[in-house]
Amino acid sequence: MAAGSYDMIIEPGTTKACSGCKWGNADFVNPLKGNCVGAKNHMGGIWKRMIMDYYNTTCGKYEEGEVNFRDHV
Amino acid sequence: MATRHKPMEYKGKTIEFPFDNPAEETIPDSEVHEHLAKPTTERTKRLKGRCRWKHSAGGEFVEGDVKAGIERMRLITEAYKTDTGKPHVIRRANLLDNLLNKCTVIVQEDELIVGFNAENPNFVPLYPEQSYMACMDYILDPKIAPQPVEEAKELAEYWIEHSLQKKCETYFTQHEIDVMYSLTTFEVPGFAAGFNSVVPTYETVIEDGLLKRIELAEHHIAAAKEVLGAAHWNAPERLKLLPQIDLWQSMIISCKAVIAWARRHGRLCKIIAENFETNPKRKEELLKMADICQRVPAEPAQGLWDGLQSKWFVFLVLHALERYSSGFAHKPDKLLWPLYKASVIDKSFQAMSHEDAVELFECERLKISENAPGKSKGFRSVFPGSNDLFILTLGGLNRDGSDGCNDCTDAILEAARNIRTTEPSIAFRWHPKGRLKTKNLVFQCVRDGLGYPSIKHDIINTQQMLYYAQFSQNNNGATLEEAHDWVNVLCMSPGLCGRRKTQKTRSEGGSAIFSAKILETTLNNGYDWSFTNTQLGPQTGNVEDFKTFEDLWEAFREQFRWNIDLCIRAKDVSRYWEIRILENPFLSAIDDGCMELGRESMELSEQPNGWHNPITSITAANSLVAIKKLIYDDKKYTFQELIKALHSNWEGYEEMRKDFLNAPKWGNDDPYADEIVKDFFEDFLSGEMRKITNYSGGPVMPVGQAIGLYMEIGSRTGPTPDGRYGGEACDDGGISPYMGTDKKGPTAVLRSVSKVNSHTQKANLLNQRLSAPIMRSDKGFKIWLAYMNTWCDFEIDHIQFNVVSNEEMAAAQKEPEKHADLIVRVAGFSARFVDLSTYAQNTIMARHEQDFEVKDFEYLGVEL
Repeated sequence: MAAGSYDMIIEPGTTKACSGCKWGNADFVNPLKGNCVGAKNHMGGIWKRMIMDYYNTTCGKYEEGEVNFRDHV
Repeated sequence: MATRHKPMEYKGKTIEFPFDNPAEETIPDSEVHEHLAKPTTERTKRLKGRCRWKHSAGGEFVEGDVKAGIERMRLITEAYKTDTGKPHVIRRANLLDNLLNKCTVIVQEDELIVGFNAENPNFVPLYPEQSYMACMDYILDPKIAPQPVEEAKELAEYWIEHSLQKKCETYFTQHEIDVMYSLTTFEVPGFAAGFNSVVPTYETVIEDGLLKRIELAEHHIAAAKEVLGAAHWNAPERLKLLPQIDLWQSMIISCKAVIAWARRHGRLCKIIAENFETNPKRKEELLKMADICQRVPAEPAQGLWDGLQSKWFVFLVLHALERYSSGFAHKPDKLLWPLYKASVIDKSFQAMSHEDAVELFECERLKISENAPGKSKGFRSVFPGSNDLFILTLGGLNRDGSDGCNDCTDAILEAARNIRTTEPSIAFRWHPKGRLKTKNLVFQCVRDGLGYPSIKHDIINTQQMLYYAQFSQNNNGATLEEAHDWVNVLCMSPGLCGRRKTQKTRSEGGSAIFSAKILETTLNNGYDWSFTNTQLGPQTGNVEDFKTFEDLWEAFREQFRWNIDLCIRAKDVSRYWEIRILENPFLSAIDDGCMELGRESMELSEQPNGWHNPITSITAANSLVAIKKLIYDDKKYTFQELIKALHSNWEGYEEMRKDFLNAPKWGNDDPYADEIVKDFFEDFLSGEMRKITNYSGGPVMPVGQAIGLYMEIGSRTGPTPDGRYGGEACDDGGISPYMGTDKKGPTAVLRSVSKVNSHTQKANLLNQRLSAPIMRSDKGFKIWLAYMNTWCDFEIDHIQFNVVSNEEMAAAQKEPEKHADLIVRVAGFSARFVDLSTYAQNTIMARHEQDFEVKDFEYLGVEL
C-alpha cells in the first residue's frame, strides 16, 4: 500500500485502523462497519466509501484526530 | 447597506421596490436575519436564550452537553424482566407504568408548560426494544454514551433478542440485509434504524380526558365478561374476547399511569412554589400550573393553557416515552380553537389576551426545540441543523366547508414569526377560501426566511383522503366530512387527524428509495462500484448492449421494482412484529376505533395511507433525459464512452461532461425534458409503487422529498449522466429542479411541475428560492400572493421557500457565532444555517435565487 494511497486493505489488529482515523466515521446502522469521508472531489464534495471492517481496515491516508461536524456531509 | 431590487418598467409605470420595513434600508444584506426575532415577552426571550438545542450535524450533536440518558432503558428493562408470563400487551402497559411512576420529573425556571422526556434536560432517551444497533451507536461513542456505560451495555444486550430488529431480520437473506443496511438504493428499514412516526388522536384527550377513557375501557371489559359468562358457551365467537379484554385492561393501566405522572409534575410545581420560589408572580404561576397538572390530562381541557399542557403530556408519552416517534402531527388551530375561544374571546376560563396566547405558543415552540429522541447516527445525519422532524399543520377547510383559518391560526403563526426557531415546522393548507389576514402571516414567516410554512394544496390532498378510503378493510375509511381533517404525518405526506383512523406507525407510510443510486446500479448491471463495491441489485444487463432508450428504461424499471418490493416487504414484516411486541396501550386507549373494536393501534388500520419516498429522482430523471438526447437521439456519444467517463469522474472527459451538463433540464418549461420527467413520475415511480398492496390493503404511492438524504446519498453516489461529479449532492427534493438548473424564471418552474398529474402522486416537494429584495419590498405580499394563486390554479401539491441572500450565508460561513438566527429551508425541515456542515451550506447557496421579471408579472396578472 503506497503512502497517501486511498486503497483500503484489511489488516487485523492494525494500530492505524479506520476506527481511529480522523476520516473514519462509524456506519449509520452497524457500528462495526464504517464510512471514509477523506476523499473529496475537486469541487469539495465528499465522496464516501464504505468500510466493511471498521476496526481492522487501514489505508495510506490514515491520520489521527477528529473531523469537525462542518467537515462532514 | 441593504440591496433594494432595481426599478422595473411595467405597464407604462416605473415600479420601485422600497423595503416594507423602512428601517431595513440601513441594514446590510449580510445580517438581515439577525434583526428579525422579536419574542413577545421577556420570558420567551429568556427561554430562547437558555434553550438546550439538540441540533445534530454530520451525525454529531452540535452542543457538547447532549448525551444519551439511561433512565428509560433502566426502567423499562426492570419492568419487562419482572413481568414474564403476562399477555404481552399488559407487559407493555406495565413497562410504561413503571417508567412514568419512577422517572425523573423536571420543572424548569420560567416554563409555563412542563414535562421532559429524559432525566436531564441535556439528555436524549434510548429505545433498545426497537433497534439494538441504534443503541450500540451511543454506547460505543464516549462523547454521548449513557452513564454508567457498563450498565447501559448490559441493558442494551438484554434487549437484543427481544428487539424488533432481531425479530424482523430472520425473514430476509443475508444479501437482502446487506443491501438494506448499506443505505444506498434505499433507506435502512425502520426496524433497524429505529425511526418511526405517529399521528396521535389528541382530540379524545382534550375533549374527553383520560378518566373518561378509563371508564370506557372498564365498560367494555364488563360487557365482554358478561358475554363470556352467557349461556351456551361458543368458543369460536367468545375466545376472540380474551385478547380484547387484555387490550382494554392495558389501556386502563396506561391511562392511570399517565394521569399519575402528570400529577407528579403538579406536586413538584407546588413544592417549588411553597418552599423555594421567592418571586410572588412566579409563585402564583407555579400554583396555577400545579392545578393544571392535577386536572389534565385526567379531565377534559377547559382553557388554552390546559389544552397546551394536556397536549404536551400526550406528545411526550407518544413520541418519546411509550415508544419513539418523530413528528408533531396535529392541527392545533382546530384542536385548540374551542379553548382559545374560551380563554381569549369569551374569557370564561384561564382568561388571557391574544398576546398571552402568542406567548404560550412561543413557549411550546421552545419546548419542542429542547426535545429530541435518541435517534440513530444515520438519522442524526439526515436532519442536519435540527432536532428531529416536528411539523404541525394549519389552515385548510373545516368539515362543513368553511375556512379553517381563525385567530388561533394567527396566534400560532405570530409565535413562529416572533421567536424564530427551526422547530416545529409548519405546513399550511392553502385553499382559495383561506382568509387574507392569515395568508399574510404565512407570507411574513416565509419572507423572514423561516423556510416554513411549507404550503400544501388543500383540495388535492382532501381528495386523496377519499381515494385511500375506498381501500379500507373494515369499510370505515374517511367520510366526505372526515376527509377535510388531514395533517402532514411528517414533512410531506397527508394523513387523517381526529379521534380515530389516523396513521399509527411509519410502517404504513414513510421511508425512502433513491432513484439516482438505482440508476447508477442499472448502468453497471446492478453493481455498486462507487461506494460499497458490491452487487446491490439484480443483473439487468450491460448498458452497452441496450439498443433503444426503452431497453434502458425497462432495465431501470426492473431495478426499481426489485428495490421497492424489498422496501415495502421490510415495512410490513416490521408491522407484523410491531403488532406482537411493540404494542402501544396508551396510543390505543385514546383512539376511538381501538377502544370501540378492542383492536390494538398497530393492528387496526381503518384508513390505509401507504406511501414511500423517492428521493434523488430529478438527478435520475435529468440523467435519463441527457442519455436519451446525447446517446439515442443525437447519437453523439456511445454508452461505452459514457461509462468510461463516469468511472473517471469526468476527468479527461471535460467537454463530454459539458454536453451532458447542458442537456435539457427539468424546471425550465422545456418540452423535451418535461415529457420524459413526467413519464418518470407517473409511469415509473407511481406506476410501479401502485402495483404493491400493503398491510392495510391499499396501494403505495410516491412522496417525493429529500430531508438531508439528498446530501448523504449524493456522497454515496458516483458521477451521473446529468453532469454531476461523484460525491456531489443530488437534487434537494421531490420534484424540485436540480440546484442552479432552473434558469427560466419562477413561472417556468411552475409550468414544468404542473405537467405531472398530482393525483398520481401522494405528494411532491417543491423547493424554490425567491428573491429577497422582492419579497422584503412593500410589494412582496402582492407579488407572492399572485404567484401562490397561480400555483394553486396549476394544482401543484406543494411548495416551500428560501428567502435569503448569498451575502448573508457567506457571512455566516465566515463568522457563525454572529448568525445564530439565520434559518434556512433544507428540504422537509428548516435548519439553523450555522449548524449545517459546509457541504450542506453550499447546497443551499447553490439553489437558484428566482427573480421576478416583467414576463413573470404579466403571466401572474399582478397589478403593481
